[in-house]
Amino acid sequence: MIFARVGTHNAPFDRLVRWMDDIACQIEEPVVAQIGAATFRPEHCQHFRFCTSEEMRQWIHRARVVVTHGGASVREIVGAKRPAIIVPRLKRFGEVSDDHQLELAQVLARRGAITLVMTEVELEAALHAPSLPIGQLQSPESLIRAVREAIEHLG
Amino acid sequence: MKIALVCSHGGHLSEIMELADAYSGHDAFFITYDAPRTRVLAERKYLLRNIGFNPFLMAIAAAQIMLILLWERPHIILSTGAEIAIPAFYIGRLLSARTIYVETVARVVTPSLTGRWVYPVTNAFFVQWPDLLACYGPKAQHKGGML
Repeated sequence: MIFARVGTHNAPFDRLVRWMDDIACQIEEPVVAQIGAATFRPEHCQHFRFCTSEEMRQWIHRARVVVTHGGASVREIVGAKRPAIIVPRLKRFGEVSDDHQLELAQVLARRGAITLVMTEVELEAALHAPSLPIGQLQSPESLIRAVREAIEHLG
Repeated sequence: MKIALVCSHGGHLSEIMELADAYSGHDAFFITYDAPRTRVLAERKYLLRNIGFNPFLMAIAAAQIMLILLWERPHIILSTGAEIAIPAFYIGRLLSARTIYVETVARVVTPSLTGRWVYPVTNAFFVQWPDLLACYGPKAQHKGGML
C-alpha cells in the first residue's frame, strides 16, 4: 500500500493529491491519501481529510512507502523505518509561505535519508524503484535536556 | 511548576510531545487548535479555532489566550510553533511568565515568521539546525535536533 499525506496546513496541496490520483489508476497497488484542505477530490484512491495521531501512526506502519509533504512529520515516517518520498510544498504554487520544505528535503536527501521528488514523472519512477532509502532518527536527548534545564532555570 | 504547552495541531504538536521528558513531572497543559488529533490529548487542554496569519482571527485568539493565561497563570510557556505562539508569548510576558521557544525541525536555513516574531520576547530560544543560529541573535542556541 502507498500512503500519501499532505499534513495539517490550511493551504491545500492539490498538486500532490492529483498526482497520487493519476498514479492510483495506473497501478495495482492500493493508494490511500490524507488530503487535508484539498479542493480536488481524488476518484481513484481511498482518501480522508484529517485523522488522529494514532490513526496516522497506523497508516504509516501499514504502508510500503509514504509520500509526504516536507513537514516536521517526516520524523514519524523515518522513525517508523518506512521509506519516505518527499514532495515539498512550494511557495510559487501558494502551498506554503516560503520554500523551507524544499530546504529540509534537500538536506535530508543529501544524507540519503529520504527521496526528494519535484515532478509527477519523478514520483512515478520513485514508486516503481526496487528500493528506496530509509533514514535514521537522531536522538532528541540533548535538546530535551537543554529544554528541561531551561525550565528549571527560568521557573 | 505550571507549564503551558502552546502549538498548532500538526508536526508542531508531535514535536512538543517528543519533548515530553523535558516537562514531565510538572503541571503541563495544552493551548492548541481544535482538530481530531488534539481532541484526544490526555492532558488538560484548551482548543482554539485555527488562526493562521489572519489578523482578525489572531485578535480573537489573543483575547482567548489572555483569559486562559489569566486563569491558569503558568510559570513557563513552552512552544514549538506555529503562529499561535505569537499572541501567547507577548501576552504571557506581560503576565510575567517565562517563555521557551523551540524552532521546528522543519526549519533548516530559513527562519520561520513565528520564530522572528517571538524571538524578542523569548527567554530561551532553541533551533534544531546549526545554520539557523546566524539568522537569529545571540540568544539562539543549538543543542541538537530530532531528525
